[in-house]
Amino acid sequence: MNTAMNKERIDGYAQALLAVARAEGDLDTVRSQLGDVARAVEGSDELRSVLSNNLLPAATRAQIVDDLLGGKAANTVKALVGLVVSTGRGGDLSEIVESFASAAAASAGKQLAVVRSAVALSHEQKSRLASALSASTGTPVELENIVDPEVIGGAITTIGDTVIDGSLRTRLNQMRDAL
Amino acid sequence: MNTVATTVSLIAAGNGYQIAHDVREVVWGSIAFFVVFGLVMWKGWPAITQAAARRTARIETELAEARSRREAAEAALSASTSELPDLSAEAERIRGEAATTAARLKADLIAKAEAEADGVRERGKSDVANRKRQARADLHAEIAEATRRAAEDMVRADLDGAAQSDLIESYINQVSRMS
Repeated sequence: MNTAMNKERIDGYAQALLAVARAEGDLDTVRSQLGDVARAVEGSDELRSVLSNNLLPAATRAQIVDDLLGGKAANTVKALVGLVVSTGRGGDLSEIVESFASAAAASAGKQLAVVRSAVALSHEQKSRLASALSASTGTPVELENIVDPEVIGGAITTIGDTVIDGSLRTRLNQMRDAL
Repeated sequence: MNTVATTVSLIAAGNGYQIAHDVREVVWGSIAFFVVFGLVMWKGWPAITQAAARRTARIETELAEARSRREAAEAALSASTSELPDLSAEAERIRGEAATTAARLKADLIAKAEAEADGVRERGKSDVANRKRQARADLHAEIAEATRRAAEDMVRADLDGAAQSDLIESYINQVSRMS
């Protein structure tokens, strides 16, 4: 029940962010920068802890976001992240951004595919991988590439509930399990 | 006065002291005695004989009752004596049962103690075996993890840009084959 309510809440925030991004007319930039912010927060325990600390006044949390993003992000992105954090949902930021990206892709009639790789994919590789995924799923795919050194090599694609894992990390883990 | 004179004269004669009897006193004394005796015999004797008869009857009754009680006691004694062999047999039977029960309890207790001892021994063996198995599994897991880390270090050292690109290409081809 709580999980369902939480999912509903996350989707609600994602839809709100999507509406604002559309209204501001810069959906691609907002989506890209929101993804960067979410990954930065996810990668720092300290930052995640501060932004999800509801004992801090909302204004303080919003000020921290403003200081962190400074001139590095669009005003819309700063406002949206500040909104999420000041309403006490900083701990859900990554999931909200992920839901936002999925909703943005769906609004364009596409399905979001998140590709994690150790190095950034080239534009040509992205295009070919998106085509392969579209052919595989039968739905146009919008690809989001996240650089994750933990992958070591190869890539892991998450599309909907499906995970296509071709990473060296997983192969090494399989080797360890086989031992 | 004559009596006194007679007495004095007798003393003077050296015959010792002697009270002389008056004949009238003797006569009247005898008459009184016989009157009293007659009255006693007339009125007291029947009462005495009746009392004696009643006492005799009471004693005889008591003797009869005592005899009856003695006979009853002798009969009871006789009956008890005749039952003694049965009681002895009952006592012997009870002793036998008690001995059998004690022997059975002893055997049960010994069997139970032996079973518990066997259980403790088996559990001990099982615990030792489990600990050995767990230690072996932990050791294997540590070796496998160390091997994985060593392999990861080697792979990372060998992974240059070209190798990463080859892995991505291989991954894209793998996804393309899925469609």
